[in-house]
Amino acid sequence: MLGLTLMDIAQMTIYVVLFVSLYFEIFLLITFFEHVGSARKIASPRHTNTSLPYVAVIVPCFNEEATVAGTLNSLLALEYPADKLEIIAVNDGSTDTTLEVLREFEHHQQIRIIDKENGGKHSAMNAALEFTNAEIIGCLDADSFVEPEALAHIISGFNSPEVAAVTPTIKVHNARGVLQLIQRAEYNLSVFIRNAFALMDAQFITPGPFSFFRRNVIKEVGPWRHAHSTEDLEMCLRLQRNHHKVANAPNAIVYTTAPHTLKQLYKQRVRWTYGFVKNAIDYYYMFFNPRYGNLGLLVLPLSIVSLMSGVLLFSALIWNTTLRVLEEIVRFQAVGISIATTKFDPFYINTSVLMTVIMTLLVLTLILMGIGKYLAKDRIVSIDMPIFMALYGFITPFWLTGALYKAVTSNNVRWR
Amino acid sequence: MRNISITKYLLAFAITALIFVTAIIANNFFNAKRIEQLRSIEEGISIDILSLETQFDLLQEQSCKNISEDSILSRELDTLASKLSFAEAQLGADNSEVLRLKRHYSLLEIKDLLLMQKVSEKCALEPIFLLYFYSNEKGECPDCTRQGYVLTELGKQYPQLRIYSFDYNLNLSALETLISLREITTELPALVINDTPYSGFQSLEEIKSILPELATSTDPIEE
Repeated sequence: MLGLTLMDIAQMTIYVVLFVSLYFEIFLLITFFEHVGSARKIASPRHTNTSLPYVAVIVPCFNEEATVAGTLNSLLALEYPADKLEIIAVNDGSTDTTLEVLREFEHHQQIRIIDKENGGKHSAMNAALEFTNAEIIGCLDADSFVEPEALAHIISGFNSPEVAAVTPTIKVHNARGVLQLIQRAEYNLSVFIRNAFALMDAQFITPGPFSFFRRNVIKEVGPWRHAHSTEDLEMCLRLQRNHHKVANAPNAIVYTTAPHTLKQLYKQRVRWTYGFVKNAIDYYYMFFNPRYGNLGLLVLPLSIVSLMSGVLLFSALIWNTTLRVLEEIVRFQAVGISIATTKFDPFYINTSVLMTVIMTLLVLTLILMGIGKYLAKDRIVSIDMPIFMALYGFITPFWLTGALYKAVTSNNVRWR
Repeated sequence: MRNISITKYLLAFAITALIFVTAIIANNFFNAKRIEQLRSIEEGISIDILSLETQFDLLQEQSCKNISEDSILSRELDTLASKLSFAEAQLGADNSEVLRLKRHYSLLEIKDLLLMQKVSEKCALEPIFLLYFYSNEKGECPDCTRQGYVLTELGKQYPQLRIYSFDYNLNLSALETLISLREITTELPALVINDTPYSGFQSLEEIKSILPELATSTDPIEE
């Protein structure tokens, strides 16, 4: 093995992963700046009432008694002609009072309620699809809320006839506590990434909160599938496989309720990551396939790399921390508690290539997040950014590892 | 088949490569600066030793009033040791420049030791000398890390203690002579405390018991 030790191989892998991560961020930045200015303008609503399409928003509900009323009220407040908007709430066999809450909205002409046995989110979507003839079909999770002009912006995204689906900008609703603040920053980063992916024609998720599809395209590619509890990811991959365009409307803002406990967050992220891995296996032929453009050549392979690198970098972190702790134990055993008395000296600043590249990556991530915040109309600099930078790397690997374990052992994952 | 901009792929690659190359160049630049600083410290210490040697030769037995226990081995030599060890970690223990600086440092230590012994004799000073031989070779000295912590702590508590550390495997004839003169075995860590050699790890308490005068010569610095 050319005299390479395990440590040499680990170090080389870290350098490769860092190079690839940096390359990816730079690629996204170039893509964004290529289209700078168009990102926000693209979605300015310019429809006349008569030209607006008939839209149906499906709200699948499973035990959402606490939030569904807010979701429906936000939909009723949408600035969109009432005669062109239909809201279909599907009670997917809830065991709480969700159905009673839904019944309170029955008198609204725009709202239709479907009550069915529990079958999963995809079954709720498909059930609603049978009940409507709307040209544009969308979905809104029952824990999410929309801004009044969100739908108009989404519909503007359909201006081009080749666009089959439009994704929104998702923000965390009323973020409180460290965990939700981390997620707020993460969602802001996703706003940028989703926008850049759309510009590269490489989105691979049409998120549950407020993504819309042309009905004829759904008819063409087929209904929603269970897809390892990530039907929104699978549907988007299916659209891409059939060479349909998926656009993004950054001005269409939707708020989602982020998990506020580690357990909830872990469960949600394991489901997402597990779903991604399993769907990636199902759609393996899209990877490294130039027929699928930037999605096949860059985005899908690098998404897998980022999964692996998360676990790898975490292992490196654990390894280094363990060494450090052992070192401190040895020091403690040797001399007891000893206070370090080092003074600051620039001589000791770590200028290694590894450190410089990691710092560059972190700064670039902050820039991407800042752009995401700009697109999401948030304050560009806020407290969630340093919290995210300090803690995200420590919590992500838990669900990455959990999801990879589940993917290998193929345990079932519930959608809620 | 969708549009793929090869130019963009190449441009992103070029920028990423440029960042890596810049990081490598910057790191080399800062390491060169570090080496330069280490050289200048060594030069300073070298001049200090030479100056004291000359001063001592000039004065001979006439006066010892300007010479005290801590006149040569100033904080500079400690700073140099700590910076050298950082540079060793950054550049690698096999780096030729680091090795050269380490050899020079060891020579300065030996010179300081000899001069100080001479000065002590003539001027009736009673400094406490502690020689420490370690090894960085893998598996050769598992206790050296612990011994290093003990000596650092001891040095912090008793600044009057004159600790000289030597890399046992450093290819330096003067050091080899010192090792053979002091009868240092290959069992590391090895210490020479006031001319008596000790092999194997010595705890803080053990060294303190070997050196009862340590506690009485000067008050230790309380943490």
